Amino acid sequence: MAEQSSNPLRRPLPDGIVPEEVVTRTEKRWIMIMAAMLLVMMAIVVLTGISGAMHPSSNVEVVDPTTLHLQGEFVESNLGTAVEPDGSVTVRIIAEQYEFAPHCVQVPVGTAVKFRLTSADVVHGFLLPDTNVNTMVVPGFVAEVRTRFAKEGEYAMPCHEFCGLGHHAMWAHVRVVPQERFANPTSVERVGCATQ
Amino acid sequence: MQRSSRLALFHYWVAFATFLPAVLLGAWQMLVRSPLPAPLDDSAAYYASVTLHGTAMAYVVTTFFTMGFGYAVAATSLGRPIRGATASWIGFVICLVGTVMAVATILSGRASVLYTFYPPLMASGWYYGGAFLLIGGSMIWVVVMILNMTAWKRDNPGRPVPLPMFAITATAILWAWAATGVLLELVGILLPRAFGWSDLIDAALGRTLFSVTLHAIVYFWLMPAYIAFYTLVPLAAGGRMYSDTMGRLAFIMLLVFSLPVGMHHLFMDPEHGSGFKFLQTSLTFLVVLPTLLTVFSTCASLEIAGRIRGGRGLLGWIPALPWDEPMVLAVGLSLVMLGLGGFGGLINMSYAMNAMIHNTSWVTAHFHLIFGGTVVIMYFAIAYEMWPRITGRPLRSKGLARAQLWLWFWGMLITTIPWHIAGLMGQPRRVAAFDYTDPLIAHMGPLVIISVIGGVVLLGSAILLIVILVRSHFGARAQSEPLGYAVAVNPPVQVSPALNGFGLWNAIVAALMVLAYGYPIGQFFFLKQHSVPAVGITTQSDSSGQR
Amino acid sequence: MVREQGPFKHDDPWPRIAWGTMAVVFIVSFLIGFIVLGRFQQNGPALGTWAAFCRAVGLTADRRRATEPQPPQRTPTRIAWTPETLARIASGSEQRGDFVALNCAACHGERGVSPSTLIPTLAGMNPAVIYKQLDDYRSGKRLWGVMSAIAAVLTDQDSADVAAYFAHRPDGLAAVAAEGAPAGGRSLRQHDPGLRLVFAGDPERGIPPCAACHGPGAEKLGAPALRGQHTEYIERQLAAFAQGMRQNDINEQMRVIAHELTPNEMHAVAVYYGAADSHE
Repeated sequence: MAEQSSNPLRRPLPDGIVPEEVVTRTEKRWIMIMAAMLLVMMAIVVLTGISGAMHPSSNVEVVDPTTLHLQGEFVESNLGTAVEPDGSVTVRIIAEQYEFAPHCVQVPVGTAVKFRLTSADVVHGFLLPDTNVNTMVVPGFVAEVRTRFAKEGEYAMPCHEFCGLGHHAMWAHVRVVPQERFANPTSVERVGCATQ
Repeated sequence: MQRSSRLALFHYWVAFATFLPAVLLGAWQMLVRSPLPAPLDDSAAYYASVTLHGTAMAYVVTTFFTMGFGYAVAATSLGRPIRGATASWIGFVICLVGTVMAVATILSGRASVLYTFYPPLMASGWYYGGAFLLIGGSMIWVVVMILNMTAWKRDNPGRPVPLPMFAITATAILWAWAATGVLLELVGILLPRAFGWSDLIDAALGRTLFSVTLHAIVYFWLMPAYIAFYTLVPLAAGGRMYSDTMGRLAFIMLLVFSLPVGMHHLFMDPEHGSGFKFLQTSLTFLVVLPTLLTVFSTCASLEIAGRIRGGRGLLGWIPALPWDEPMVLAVGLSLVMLGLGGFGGLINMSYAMNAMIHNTSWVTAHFHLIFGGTVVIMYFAIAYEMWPRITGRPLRSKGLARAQLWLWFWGMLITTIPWHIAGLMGQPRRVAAFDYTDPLIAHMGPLVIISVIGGVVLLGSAILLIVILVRSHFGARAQSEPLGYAVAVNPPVQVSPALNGFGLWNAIVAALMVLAYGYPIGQFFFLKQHSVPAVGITTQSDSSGQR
Repeated sequence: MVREQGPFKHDDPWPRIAWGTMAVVFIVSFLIGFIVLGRFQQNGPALGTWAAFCRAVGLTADRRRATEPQPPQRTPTRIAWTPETLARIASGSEQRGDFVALNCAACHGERGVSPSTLIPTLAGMNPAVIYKQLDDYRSGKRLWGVMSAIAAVLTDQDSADVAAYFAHRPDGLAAVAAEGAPAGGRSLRQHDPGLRLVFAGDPERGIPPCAACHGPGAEKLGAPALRGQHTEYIERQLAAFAQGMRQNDINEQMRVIAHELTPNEMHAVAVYYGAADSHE
C-alpha cells in the first residue's frame, strides 16, 4: 500500500503552533522538577551514607595471589573466623577456582563482622543475599566488607562473577549462630562450621 | 539503489542476521538455567553461548546497526551523498572480518570469557584480535561522520546543523571516547598477554579501563533510539518536534555525562576508593537528566500530534494518536519499558544501594529490559522506516510489523520481570545450572520457568522480524516518500556555536575524564606489585593463554 | 535557552554555563565524597578529616600487623606458582630426564605406565604436577616412605627434567585438551552420579565439576591429568584428602572437595577417569 501525499500524516503543520515562550517555559519547568527529584535521591544517598555508614568498599590493599599459602594472613591455618580482642570478628576466606576456603563459616549474630577475602587466581564474587555483603574478589587485592548480622540462619554464599567453567558450582555457606552458641575459641583458634 | 543506501543496507543486514541466532541462543540459555529439561545441556556449551550472545548483541548488532543508521542519516538529513564512501566500505570489511574472527573463536570453545572478558581470565588471542578489528574498524565510521558534518558546516556557514546529523555525530564522538577504554585494554593488556609477550597481567587496570567503555557503550546503543524519538516519531505521528534546542542539549549531555561514570560498574571492587565511587555517582545522576528531557520532549511532540488529530482533555491526545503506525506503536511500548527499566537503573547507580543487587540477576534483567526492550524495539521501528526507502518496496503489512512489536514487548516483560525478582532473592549471574533441589534456592525455579516462556515469545518475535524484512525485498515496487525528519515547532534559524559543534563539549569531557578517572587509572602505575598470572579459560599448563 | 543572533563567542553563554556547572558539581561531589562521607565507617569510629580523605582516595587500608597471637602456621607446600617457578619447570630437559627416570621405572613402569594399581601412571602427566609432588616429598609435606627417600636425592633440576620426560611419554594419561563439540547430559540433570559430579559438580555442597580442573575440556595449573589413571589410586588419594592424611594441596583445594564426597561418589568419579585404563 503506497503512501499518498494526501495522507494526513504527511501534511506539514504550520510553524509556531506552540509559541516559543511556551516551549521554553515548559522546558525550564521540567528541568527544575527533574533536577529537584534527582537532588532528593542524591540527598537520600548522602544521608544514608552518613547515618548508616552505608558505603561501597574503600580499602585498597595489595597482596600476592601466588604466595597466599606460604605467608601472611591468608595461610590456611589462619582462614576462618577469628575473634578480635575487642569482641568483633574477622572472617578470612580465599576464593579460588572453584570453591571458597573455608567452605562453611560460622559467625555470631549481632556482632561486628569484617570479611576479608582475596582470590588465588581470577576475579570471583561474594554475595550474602538480604545483607550488605556483596563484593568482587580481585586477585592481587584484599576485599573487605563490614557488616552486622541481625538475624540467625544459614546463608548460601554464591560466587557471582564468572570465574571459569566451574563457576556455577561455586557455592559455600555462612552460618549465623547465637552469641552464646558461638564456639568460644582461645585467641589462637579459628572457627569453622565443624567446630561446634 | 543509491550508494549510501547500499552501504546502510549491508550494515543493517549484518546486524539483523546476527540478531536472530543470538536471540535463539538467549532463549536456549534461559531454558538451560531453568528446572526444565533442555537439549545439549553442557555447562561448557552454556558459557560459550553466553559469550557469543553477549558479543553478538553488545558489539556486533549494535555497532553495525548504528553505523548503518549513521550513513543513512548523513545521506538523507544533509541532502547530499556522504563523503568518504570508500573509506566506509573499507571500515565495513574490517569490522566484518573482526566479527568472523571473534565468532569463529568463540564457537571453537577457546573464548568462553564472556563479552566483558575480565582478566586475568584469558581467551585465545584470536578473540581479542577480532574484537579489536570490530571496535577499531568502527572508528573509520566515526571519522566519516565527523568529516561529513564538518564539510556541511563549511558549505553552509552560520546555519544550524540538522538535528539528526548533529545527534549522530554526537553518537560517533561518544563512541570514539568510549571505545578508548576497551581498545587500550585489548592493545595494552590482553593482546600482549595472549601472544606471550608479557608474563603477568594487570587485571585491576584492565577492569578499570573496561569500565570506561562499559557504561558509555549503552549510550552509544541508545542514541539511535533517541534520534528516532526526536526526529522520526513526531513525523510518523503527524506532529512536529517539540523543541530543537532541547534535542541538541539532550545529545550533548548524553555525550558529556555518559563517559566519566563507568565506575558505578566497579562499586563493589576493592581496587578503588569510595571517594571516586561517589564522584562518579554524582555524575551518573546527571546522565539521567537527558533521558528525562527526551521523555518530556517526546511526549510533548506526541501531544501536539494527538491534539491535531482531535484529542481533547488532559490525556485525550493519547488514544487519538495513530497507533497503527509501527513507529508510533514502538515509541509507546519503548517508553513503558523505559519507565520500568529506568527505575531499576536508579537503584543500580545509587552508591551503597548497589550492594543489594550487584552481580545478581537483577542486573541482567535490568539491561535486558532497558536495552533489549526500550532500545532494540526502536531499532525495529527504524528498520521498518528504512527498508521501504532502501529497497523501493513498501512494507507488505503494517499489521504484521505491529504484531512483531507487540510480541517483543510482551516477551520482554514476561522474561525480565521474574528475572528482576530472582535477582532480589540473590540469584547470582552467569550460572550455567542451578540445583533447584537445594531448599535455599528452590523458590527461584518457577520464576526462571516464566522467563523461559518470555524467551520463546521473544524468539517468535525475532523470527517474525526477519520474515518481514526479507519479504520487503520482494513484491511490487512502489515509490515511498523520501525519508523525512520532523521539524521543530519553532525551527531554529541560528543556534549558538556551542549547540552546533563539539569543541567545547570535547574539552569538558576531557576535563571530566581526568578528574574522574585520572587517579583511579594512574594509581596502577605506582601501586606496589599487583599484577597477577593470567589464567587461560581452558588451559593453564603453559604460561601463555594461547592454545 | 537563549538563541544568539550571530556566532560571537564572548556572548555565547554556553561555555560559562557548562564550565560553571561542572565546577560546582565537581567541588560539591568532591567535598561530600572525599571529606564528609569518608569519615563514617561501619562498625567503627568516625575518622578524622585527613584519614577519611586518604581512605576515600584509596591510599590507606585496614591492614595492620597482627599483634594478637596467631595459630601455629601450617603451610601445605613450599611451591608457589610464580613466574620463576614456571620458568624453572619449563626449562626441564627431556633428554636428561630420560636418564633420571631410570630410577623410576621399577615402580612406575618402563615408559611411565604403572603396572600396579596403587602406583600412579606418570606418562602424559603435567610437568608442573610432577615437579610439585617431588618437592612435596622432599620437604615432607607429602609422606610416602619410598618417595620421600627418592625425592631427597633428586635436585630441583632433576625434578624439572624428569617432569619434562614423563610429560612427553605416549600411551599413558589422556591429554587434557579442550574437547570438540559440546555434548548433552553434562549438567545437573545427568542421572548417573559419577558423570554428574565429573561434569556438573554439586552446587549445594559446593563441589565443582572435576572436569573444570582435571579435564576433559579444561585444565587448571597444578591439577593432575586423570583420564587413564588407575581407578584405585584416584580413590585412595581422594580418601587421603578427605581424612587429612594428605594435606599438600594449595589453599585446601582438594581437601575441601574431598571432605564433601561420599565413598561411593569417590568410587564413581574414579571409575569414570580410570575408564581409559587398559590395565584394570
